[in-house]
Amino acid sequence: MRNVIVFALGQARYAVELRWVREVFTLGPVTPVARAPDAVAGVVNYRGAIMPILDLAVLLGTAPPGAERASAHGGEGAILVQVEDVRAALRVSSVVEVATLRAEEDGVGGLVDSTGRSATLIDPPALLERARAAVRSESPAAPGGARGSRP
Amino acid sequence: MSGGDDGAVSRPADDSFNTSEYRALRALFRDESQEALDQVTHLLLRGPAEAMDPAALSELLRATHSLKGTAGTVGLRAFADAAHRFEGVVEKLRAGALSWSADTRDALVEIVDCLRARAALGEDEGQEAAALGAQLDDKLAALTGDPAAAGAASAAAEALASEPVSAAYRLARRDERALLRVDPVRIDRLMDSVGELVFDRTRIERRVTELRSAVAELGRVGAALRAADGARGRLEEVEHDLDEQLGRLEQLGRELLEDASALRRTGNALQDGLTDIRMQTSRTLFQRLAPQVRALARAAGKSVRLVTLGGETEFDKSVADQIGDALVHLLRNAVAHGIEPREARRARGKPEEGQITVSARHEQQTVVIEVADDGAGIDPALLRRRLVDSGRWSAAQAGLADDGEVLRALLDARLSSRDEVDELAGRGIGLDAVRVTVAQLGGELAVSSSPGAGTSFAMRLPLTTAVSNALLFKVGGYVYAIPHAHVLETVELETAGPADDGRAGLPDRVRAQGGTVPLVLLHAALGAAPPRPGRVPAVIIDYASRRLGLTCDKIVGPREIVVKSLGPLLGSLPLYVGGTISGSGKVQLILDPAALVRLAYPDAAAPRAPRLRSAGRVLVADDSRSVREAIALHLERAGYQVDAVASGLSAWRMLGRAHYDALVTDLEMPEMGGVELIERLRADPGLAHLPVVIVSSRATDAARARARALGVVDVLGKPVSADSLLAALRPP
Repeated sequence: MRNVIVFALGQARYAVELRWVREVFTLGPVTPVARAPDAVAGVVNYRGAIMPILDLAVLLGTAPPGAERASAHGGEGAILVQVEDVRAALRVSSVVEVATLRAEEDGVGGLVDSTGRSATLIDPPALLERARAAVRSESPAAPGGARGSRP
Repeated sequence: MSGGDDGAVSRPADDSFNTSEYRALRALFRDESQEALDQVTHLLLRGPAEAMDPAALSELLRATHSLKGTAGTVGLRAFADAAHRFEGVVEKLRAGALSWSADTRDALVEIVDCLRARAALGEDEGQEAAALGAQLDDKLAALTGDPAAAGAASAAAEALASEPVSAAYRLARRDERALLRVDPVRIDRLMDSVGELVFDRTRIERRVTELRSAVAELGRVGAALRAADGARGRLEEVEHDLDEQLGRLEQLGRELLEDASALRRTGNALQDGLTDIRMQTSRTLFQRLAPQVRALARAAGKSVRLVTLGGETEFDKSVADQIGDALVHLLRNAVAHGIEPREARRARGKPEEGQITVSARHEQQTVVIEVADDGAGIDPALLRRRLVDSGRWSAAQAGLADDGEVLRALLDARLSSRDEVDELAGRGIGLDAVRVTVAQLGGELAVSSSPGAGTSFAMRLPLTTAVSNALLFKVGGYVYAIPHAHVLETVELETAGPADDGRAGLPDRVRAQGGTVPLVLLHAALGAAPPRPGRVPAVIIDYASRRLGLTCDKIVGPREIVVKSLGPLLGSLPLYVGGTISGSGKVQLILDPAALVRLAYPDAAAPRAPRLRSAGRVLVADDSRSVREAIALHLERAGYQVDAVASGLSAWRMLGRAHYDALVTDLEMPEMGGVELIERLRADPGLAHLPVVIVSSRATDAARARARALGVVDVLGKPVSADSLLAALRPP
């Protein structure tokens, strides 16, 4: 049995295991980070520390190709996840509920929430690793060498 | 201000250092000596009043001796003399020529108080110093019963009989002055105003320039009038008036300029003062702790004594504010889980009263705040079992981990929240919160324990969370910062070319600093809309001898900022060195000048700091920061490139990383002493022949003999002079 938080991002629903979640909070003013990968929607002041905000749709590859990349902005909801010493905020449209997974749903990417809508179980360690790899690939000798500047 | 008596800095007799170096060393020594003397007081008061523990006595001798050596090294002769005489008294105690009693102890504590006050004065030879010297002489003479010394001293004391209150007393009073609590936000606001002040001055200067050109214009009008001099008599009157007005305007311009310089001086003083206000000594933080410990102990039915050390350690107020809760948390843990109940302590032959020591000290560029208890300690075997029983660790993992790793598991986020492991191990509760607080400040939390003897938690916090100077400017609606050290000037450009030429009508190069430098369109680099046609401000920076201009929308001004890391995820982004948080809570990114240089000089290899012509590269290892700095200054002046570390272990690591031509090391250091370091070097094929010079306050014959056996070039006593150091390092 595992406890999860079910949240909505746009039309999609996701769930994240509670053990990765440090806090659910509302974003303050967001500062965009130029020349960061698209998965980084900006940074925000979280209790005096600088916290990256990640865009789940980009990380999961579900963002429509060529879509205007939406920056995060203040007032949106966010879920702070932590894997070892790496912390990041996932921006969300809304938090739906806290639910308990039944054993037969364990380990399956898709699950169904209490309203009968399907939600995708996300894996924070893999997501943060993907984000980290994306940041690293943005770090050639000359910044912006391979990529043009982003609008 | 830090000094108070900074106007009267005298230089050491041998001119080893210039005035500003000397002042910096003195400031270092002041901190260090206060800590060392706190330690001495602590040693004196530690044992029972009736007998002096021989171990404490030798520790006392060692501390005094090394203080004397350090004072000599940084050129504080007067203090070194005083410490020498104190050392003499302690020697007598050890030799049994002076007997230990509560009175002796109290007298010694008073003498240490005098030394502390004397150290705070530095090399100042004013009345306070003289009065303190006389007091010291009196007290020393009274203790050792040396009438000759007493006579000389009381003569000096008589000469100062008009001084109604003793200097030591007044110094003590100075510390007790009521402290004003100020909301740091207010100080930040003041800081912003100081930034504005600087720009007000720039504006005044620009107005003066305009005024001057208006004067010049008027002069030309006058000349034209004169040239058109006709028959009309009234013209002469006009001319006269004009000259008079011109003279007044000229005068006004001069006065305005003087005002502007005065404004700058005021602004600088204000800025210094504000920077200083943000620094706070650990004493302020510690003062709040005693009542809390008392309350916690009472609640737990235990008797606990709080000892604080290093109360004069300065660090940034924002750090102090943020670690307050963490510190209380560590204390609560120590009282509740560290210190055993009275009966258990009695059974173990410990004093019923437990002791918690909170200490603060500077180590390299960090401040270390440590909470240590003399309680039961943590049994690694027990903790190992708990970790396995609770399913957190596999048996194999627990078997492989050493005791240090097992202890560190207490700090692990996944272990320490609401987990029975902690409850049972008794220490981990809420440690995660402490660790996160420390990590947010860019520091580390460490734990060490010896079963039966106690546990210690050390928060190592960077001083660099303190303030840095930066220039702030706006691009595309967001504020960015750049380290001020790299800013040469700000200029204003005019768009000229067509706005759609890909460079927003701006040239490739701009005139600055007597030449032209490449202009980087920061707007493009940061993904912002190009600047609007018209005036565009630009910042000229210099990094590793490469200069360039950066366009922006608006210069906000110079600020002192607290630099924060972007964290493990974004830390490797090349364009930024970190971020800071504005007064209104927004994140502002700090640009990396090195990355900007690569934008302007894309074909160049990564810029390196210009290589100095060097006489050689030397590593200095000494646990006293003042001694390190002093030796580094001596060597750098002679053309050496110097790196300095505080322990043998750090030295060993550095030697593994880079090539050094020689090592200058102390013998007594934490983590790894000099002898062990040299033994390791000699056993390493790559480092076996590295020339080593020992600088030690314990340059005894025995030490020399051991050092010779290890093939050391020379053993120099502290204080060490530049000449002897350079002679030792010179190739034969």
